[in-house]
Amino acid sequence: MATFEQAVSLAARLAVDSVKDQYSPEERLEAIGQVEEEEMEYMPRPDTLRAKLLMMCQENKVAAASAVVLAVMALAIIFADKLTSFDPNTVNLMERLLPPSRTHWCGTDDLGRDIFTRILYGGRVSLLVGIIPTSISMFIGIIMGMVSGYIRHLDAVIMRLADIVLAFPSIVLAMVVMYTLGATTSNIFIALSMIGWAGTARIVRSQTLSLREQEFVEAARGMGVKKWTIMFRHILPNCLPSLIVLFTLNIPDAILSEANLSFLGVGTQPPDSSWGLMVSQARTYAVSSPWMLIFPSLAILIMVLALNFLGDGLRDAVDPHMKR
Amino acid sequence: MEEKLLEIQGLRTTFFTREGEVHAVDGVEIEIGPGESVGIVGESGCGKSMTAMSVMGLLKKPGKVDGGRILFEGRCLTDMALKERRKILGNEIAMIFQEPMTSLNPVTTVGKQVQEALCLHNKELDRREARERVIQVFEMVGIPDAAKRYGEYPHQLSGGLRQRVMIAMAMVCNPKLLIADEPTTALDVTIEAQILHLMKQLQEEKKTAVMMITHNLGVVAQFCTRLYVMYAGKVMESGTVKEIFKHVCHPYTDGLMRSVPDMESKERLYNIRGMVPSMLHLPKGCRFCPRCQYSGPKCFEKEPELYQVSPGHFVRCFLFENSAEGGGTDEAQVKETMIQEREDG
Amino acid sequence: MSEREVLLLTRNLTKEYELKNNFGIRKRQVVHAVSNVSIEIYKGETLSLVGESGCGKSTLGRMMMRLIEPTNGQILFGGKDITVLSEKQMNQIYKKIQLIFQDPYASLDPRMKVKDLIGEPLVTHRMYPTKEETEARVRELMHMVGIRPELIDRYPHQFSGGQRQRIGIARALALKPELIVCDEPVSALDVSIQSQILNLLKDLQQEFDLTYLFISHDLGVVHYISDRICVMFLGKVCEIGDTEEIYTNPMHPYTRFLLDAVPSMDPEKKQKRENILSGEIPSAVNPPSGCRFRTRCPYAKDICAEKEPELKEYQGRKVACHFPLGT
Repeated sequence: MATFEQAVSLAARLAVDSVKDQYSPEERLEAIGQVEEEEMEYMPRPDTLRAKLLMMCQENKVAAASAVVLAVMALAIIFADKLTSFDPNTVNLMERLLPPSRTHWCGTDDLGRDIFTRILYGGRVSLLVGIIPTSISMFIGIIMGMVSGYIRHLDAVIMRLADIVLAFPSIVLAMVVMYTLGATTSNIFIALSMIGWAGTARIVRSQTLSLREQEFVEAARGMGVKKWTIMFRHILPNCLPSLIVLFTLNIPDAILSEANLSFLGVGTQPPDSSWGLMVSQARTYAVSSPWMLIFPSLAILIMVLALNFLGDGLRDAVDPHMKR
Repeated sequence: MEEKLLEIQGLRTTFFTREGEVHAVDGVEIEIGPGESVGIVGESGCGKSMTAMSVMGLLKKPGKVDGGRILFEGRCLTDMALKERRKILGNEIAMIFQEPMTSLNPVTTVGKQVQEALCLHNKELDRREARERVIQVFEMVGIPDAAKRYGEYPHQLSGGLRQRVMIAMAMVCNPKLLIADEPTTALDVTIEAQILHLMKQLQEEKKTAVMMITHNLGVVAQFCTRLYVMYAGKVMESGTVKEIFKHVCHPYTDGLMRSVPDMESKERLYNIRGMVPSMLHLPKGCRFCPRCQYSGPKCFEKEPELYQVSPGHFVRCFLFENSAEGGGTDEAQVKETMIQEREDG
Repeated sequence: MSEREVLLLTRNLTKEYELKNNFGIRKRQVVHAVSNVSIEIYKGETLSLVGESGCGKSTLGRMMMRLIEPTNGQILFGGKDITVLSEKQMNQIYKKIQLIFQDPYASLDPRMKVKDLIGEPLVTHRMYPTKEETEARVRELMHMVGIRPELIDRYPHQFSGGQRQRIGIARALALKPELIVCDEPVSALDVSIQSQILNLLKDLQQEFDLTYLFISHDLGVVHYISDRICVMFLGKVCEIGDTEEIYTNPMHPYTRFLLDAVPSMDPEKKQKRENILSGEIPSAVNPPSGCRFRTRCPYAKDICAEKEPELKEYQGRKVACHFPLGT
C-alpha cells in the first residue's frame, strides 16, 4: 500500500499549498469558486406571484373560468351603451311588464324599461360599490392593522375600536350612516368603508405581528431604519399576497351589502338602477312577472360566485398551507 | 461474510416535481450487519435522510422508490404488502427523528404515546403490563422519576428528556435496527454527549444495529464503526471509520474533514469551492467534479464507479481507478497526470 | 493587556422578562435571561460568547445594539453610555455597531433585490448623495464578500444559503462599522460552506480592522475565530479569558465539561463516561440559589448553594467559581 499512501500525502501537500493566511478579494472569489450564470437559473426559487397565478389557472379551472366570466361582465358593463340601444331610465308605459323576447332580452319592468339595459347600467353602480368602498376600507384597515401590530401601545385602542365595529351588525351600522348622511351613491361608499375596515385590520395586524419578529425586520431596526419606513418597505410588501386575496373576497361582500341597503330603501335611489334596487323593486311582481326578479338576481349571483371562486383560487395559489 | 441485517441494493428514490424528476437517492448500496453501527454522512440535500425515509416507507408524495431493493433479513421491504411491512416497521426497525418536539403529539402524555407504540405490536399485553414495560424502558433510557414522567406532556419536558422519550419509543419493542436521523443536531453539546452515550450503551446491551444519519463527522468518529459518505444522491466513499479517518481518499470527504474547525490548530480552514448542485441540474460526469480540485477532463465526461482501494474501503473517484484492478500500482502518478492534464487545458 | 483600547464595555447588564401571569392566578414569574454581566470588548479582537441554549448569549448580543432594551445596567461604547440615548442619537451608534444573523433565509427581506438590501443602510443614513454612487458602493461590497457584482438585480431566493450569508455580511459592512455582532452566523450552514464564511470573516477583520462579538455554541468554530472567549451559563458569566488558555486549561468546571462534550474527530480518542455532564439545564425562571451551575456540578459543596461566586481574577483570566480547577 505504499503507493497508495504516496497518493494520499500528495493530496495533502497540494491542499496545503493552496491554503494561505490572507486572501485578497480576487483570490477569495477564486477560492470559493464562482457560480455560473446557468447554475443560478437552477437555484430553487419560490414562485413569483405571476408564476403562482399562472399555476392557479392551470390547476384550478373553476378559478380561471371565474376570472374570464368577471372580465366579460366588466367589459359588458363598461361598454353598456354599445351593447344596447335602449336608455335605462326612459319610461315607456306602452311596453310595461313584457316577458323576454328578441327585442327585450330580459323583458321589461313595470315602467316599460328594458331590464337587460338596466342590469348593464346598474352594474356600473354595483361594480363601483364593489371596488371603491373595498379599496377605501382596505386602505384604512391596512394602516390601522400595521400600526396596531407594530406600535404596540396603540394596539389596544385600535383593536377595541375594531371590536366595536365587528360586534355591531354591519347592516344596521350602514343603515344608521345612510339615514344620517342621506341616501346618495357616495354616501354608500362612506357607509360601506366604515364597516369594512375592521376585518382587514385584524388580518393585517396578525401578519404584522409575525413579520415584526422576523430577522429581516430586526436587521432593518439594527441599521437604524425608521418605524414607518420599516412598515411600508418591509412589512406591507410581505402582506401583499394575502391582501390581494382579501380584496377579491371583500368585493362580493360590498356588492351584497349595497344590494341589501338598496333592498331596504336606503341605498341607490330611483330612477338610478343597481342590482340590489332592481331586485327590491321586483318584489311585488315576483309572481306575475318573474323575469323582473330572476335576471338581476342572476347577475348578482354570478358575479358574487365568480369573485368567491377566484378569491378561493387565489388563496390556494398564494398560501401553501391551504393546498390539499 | 456473515448475514446482513439490512441490505440496500441500488436504491433509487425519485421525486416527480413540476420541474422534472429529481433522483434524491440514486443507486445507493448500503449494508448493515447485526449489531453494527453505521454512519451516513453528507451535507443537506445529499439524500441521506431520503435513504432512511425510503427504508421506513415514510416518503411523502411526490416521492417514490422507483428502483432497487431494500432487504431486511433477506425479506424485501419494497415488494412486501403494506400490512406485512407495517409489522416490521416500528417493531423490528425503529426510527428517531431530529426534532423531538414536533415528533411527539403535544396533547397526549408521553407515557401514553410510548405505550401506544408498544401495544401496536404486542396486542396481548394488558394495560397494567404495558404501563410497567413503558416505565421500565423510561428507566432504561435514563429518565429520572420515570413513573412521574409517564403522565407528563411533551411541553413539560426539556429537549434532552424529549429525545430520551423518543429513544424509549423506538426501543420499546426491542428493534433489531434503529435508524437515527440527526438525533442530536437540535440538542446542546452537553446533552448531545449524554444522548450519544445512552445510544451507545443501548446498542451494546441490546445488540441493536444503528444507522446514524448525521452531518457531524465528530459524532460519526465517536459512535460508528463503518461510514458511508454521500454527495448529491450517491455514495462517494465507504469503509470503516478507522480506515477513512486515517486514509481519506475521496476529495470530497477530504475537503469535508478539513473544513471542520478542530480545537487544536488555528490554521486557515480549507474550504470546498462552490456549492452543492441543484438536484434538478446535476453536472455531467462525476457529480463532485465542478467543485473538485483534482478533476480532469475524464471526470467531466464519465461517472466514476466505486473502486476498492483496500479491503472494504470503496471510493467513487477516478484517482483510484487503477487500484481496483488488482494492484494499487501508481496512484500517485495517476493523480499527478490528472493535475497535469487539468493545468494543460 | 491594559494598553489595549476598550471599545465596548458593559456594567452589570441585566435583562429580565416577566411572564404573563394568567389573570393573577399564578404567581408573578420572572425569567432571568441575563444577570449582572460585566464584560469588555477590546478594539480589533474577536470575543466569543459561548454557551448552551438559554444561557442568554443572544439576548446579550442584541442588547449591545439595544434591539432588546436592558432592564438594568450600562453599555459604554467608546466611553459613552448608550442605554440612555434617544432614538435619534442611537442612529449614530447604529452606524458603528452592526449585526449578522443566524438564519440567512429569514434575515433578508424576500421582496427586495440585492441592490436594495445592501443599499438599505446606505440610503437610511444618507451616505451617498446619488443613486449611482450608492450602487457603486454596493458593487464594491459585493465584490468584497465574493459575490459577482453582476448579480446586483437578483432576489435573495436566487442565492444559496452561503451566498445569502455573504449578502448579510456585505450589508453589515456597508456603513464601515467598528463592531460587528455575529449571532451564530454559521450554525445554519453546511460544513463546507461554514468554512468559507469563517475564512471570509477573518479576512475582513484584517482588512478593515473590525472587532467581532461572536456568538456561537459550536466550540470548534469558536476556537478557530476568537481571541478571547466568554463562557456563559444561565445568564451569568462563568469564565472569560484567552481562547488558547481556556481550551488547554479550563478553570470553571462547566467550561471543562463543555469542552469534553464535543465529539472528537479522532475515532481513537473515545469520550470517557466520567467526562459527560449529567442532568439538564435548570430553568431560568427559578435559577438555583448561589452558583447557578451547582445542581449539575460534581464538585459542588455547601457554600455553592449559599453564596454566589463572583468573577475573580486567576492567572490573567476571570472565573466565577468557589473552587476553580487547577488552583
